[in-house]
Amino acid sequence: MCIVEFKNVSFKYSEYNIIDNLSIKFSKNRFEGILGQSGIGKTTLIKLILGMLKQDKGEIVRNFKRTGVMFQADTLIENLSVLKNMLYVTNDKRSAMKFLQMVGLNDFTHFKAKHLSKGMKKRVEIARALCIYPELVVMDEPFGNLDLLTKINLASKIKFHLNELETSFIYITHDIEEALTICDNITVFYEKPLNINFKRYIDVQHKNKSILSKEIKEFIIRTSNRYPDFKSNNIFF
Amino acid sequence: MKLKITFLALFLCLWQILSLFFENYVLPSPYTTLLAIFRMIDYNLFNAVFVSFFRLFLAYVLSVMISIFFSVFSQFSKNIGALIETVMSSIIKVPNIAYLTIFMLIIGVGSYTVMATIAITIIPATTLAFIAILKQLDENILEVTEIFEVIYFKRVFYLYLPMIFESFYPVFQMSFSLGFKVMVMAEFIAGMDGLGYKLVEKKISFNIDELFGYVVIMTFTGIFFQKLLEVIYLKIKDVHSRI
Repeated sequence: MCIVEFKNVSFKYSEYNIIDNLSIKFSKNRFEGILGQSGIGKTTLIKLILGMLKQDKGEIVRNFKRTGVMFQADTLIENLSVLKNMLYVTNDKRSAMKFLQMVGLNDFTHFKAKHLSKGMKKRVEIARALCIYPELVVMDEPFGNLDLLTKINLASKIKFHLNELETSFIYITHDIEEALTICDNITVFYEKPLNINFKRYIDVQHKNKSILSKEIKEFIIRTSNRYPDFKSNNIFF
Repeated sequence: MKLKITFLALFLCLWQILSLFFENYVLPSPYTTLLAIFRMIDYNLFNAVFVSFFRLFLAYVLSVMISIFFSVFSQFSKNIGALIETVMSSIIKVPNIAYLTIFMLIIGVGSYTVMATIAITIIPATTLAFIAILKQLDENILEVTEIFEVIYFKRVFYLYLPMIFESFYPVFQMSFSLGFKVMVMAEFIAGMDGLGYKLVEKKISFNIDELFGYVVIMTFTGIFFQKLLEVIYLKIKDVHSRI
């Protein structure tokens, strides 16, 4: 069962092709990663997923209603308290408190967002994204400005509650190491317009595997050796 | 502060020098004007100051509330926003004297005409300023708001009103002095009392030193009330930021 499915989707900004005939599926209750260099169209992809943009061709099947979101930029309202930032998106105070507790910020509810550190802000954003019990959470380079250790800590907090939450995650990043550390599946976008998908850990779906750049191949192999969990999955090039 | 006092002293010197070249009924000296001010200090003066500033305060507060309503409502949809901006931009282009004439015809002379003229001047200026402030809202926060499907009521109280309140200070500085000027003009033409009307009285009775006295009093009371409201606003903001 997939949470989102793209069927031959194309999208243009004016005459410029951003996505061309893309077909891809994102599984339910998984941490799906989208990996690709900056400017390749990852953000456009999530805007299409969220329905903020309308595709020119093809079909997008969305099997979700409620969505949570996290961006790289801070999106808390700076002059509001942590709790009010939570209550901005939900009326359920109990749920807000539950998820603040989950991210370890239940003692900071009355702190204004502007007085929090970057890492704490991201934790509030995680809690805010989850407190509405979304079926899908889209994260667009959410921990971009943080160090890897903090990223892993934050991601592991989410993954720890993944089964309980019954939420699917789409995690977008340009950082290969981050994707390998955090995500269950990774789809690599490496050519523009986006028309190729490369399911790294499940199977390789693309016919012309040789076009995956040498650097990415080497990096994936090197990093996979450092992460034994991923070794069990077949990697084909 | 030192610079301001220096400029004031220079201005008074210049005024004194210029007054030497004119008769007292054309340009009275600062000293003559000061004597006239002391002579004028009585119930009538305080009444005129009170009436004028009461009108200004009432019209100003009402105008700001209406402006906040329009600017917040402009965020409801793009079309409503465009409509409000177009209407306000059109209203602001018409000279104040034209509105004053219309209000005099409809309402007649008196307090309501003065207040209506102040309001019609302040509302479009502050509405457009508030809309400009709201346009500076972080796009990412707006996107998040859309995605989480935050209801309009919450957007108003959590996002728009705090943003307006935070950035109100420069708008207040601009709009209050604008309202003050328009108030004097409206009282001069359509008032039955107040500071503007006092200018008419002194002009008719050819009491030039007292006329100058009223101009000085207007300047200082205008500055005083603006500073007073500024202090009140900054105090509220300070308390608000600490909560």
